[in-house]
Amino acid sequence: MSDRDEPPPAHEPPPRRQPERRPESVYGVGDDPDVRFSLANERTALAWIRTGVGLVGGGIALTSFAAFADLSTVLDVVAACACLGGGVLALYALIAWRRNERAIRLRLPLPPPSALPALVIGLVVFAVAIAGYALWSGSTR
Amino acid sequence: MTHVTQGDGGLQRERTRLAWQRTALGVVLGCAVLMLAAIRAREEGVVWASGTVGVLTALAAAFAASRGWVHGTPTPWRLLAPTAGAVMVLAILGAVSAVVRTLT
Repeated sequence: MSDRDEPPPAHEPPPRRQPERRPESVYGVGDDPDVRFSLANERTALAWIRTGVGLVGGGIALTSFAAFADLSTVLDVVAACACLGGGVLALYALIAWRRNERAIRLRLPLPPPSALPALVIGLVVFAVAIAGYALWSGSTR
Repeated sequence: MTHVTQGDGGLQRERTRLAWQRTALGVVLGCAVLMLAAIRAREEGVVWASGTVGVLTALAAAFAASRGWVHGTPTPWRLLAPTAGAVMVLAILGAVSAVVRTLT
């Protein structure tokens, strides 16, 4: 009888139980992928969160500057929209992470980044609004 | 199932850890900006709320850094959800702050 066939000694501790991983809707399906894909998905979610933080920070800075320089309330409205847009992007980061991780585990094609067109359009509207305000306030001075 | 446990030529873990640090730094800075703006506008509730979110985020980031970081323990969701939640709280506070200034 070879060493490989011997049963493990009685005093050997039982194998460590894998802690339950949440959310179950993600880790309960498919197989563990190459860890590089999971890490890349995690970094993508973080990049979306940072984009949201940038929008929120920009909105806060805008409303603070508008209050400091006693500018029009139009800027406060634009700032509120930027803040809310940033919050929506943070929520989207969670949804997209979950969706992508499921697709990776199930070996399915990755879904497209559906928030990207909305973000681009939102930023263009934001830029046009600020530029319009700058032109309008310049012409009425 | 394949795992990158040897070599890691792409420095995946370091890059992910740095991404977390950048995100935490962004949230803390956003909280600081909002808190300073609220102090100036004398909005006491926003000052406390933004300060609390900022301090909690900084403490969580410091705790995570001191423990070391191993991918999968805990799962990213356990950290992503509170971080995104902090950004959403910050967004609501910023929007409320801007709307209050519009109305007053």
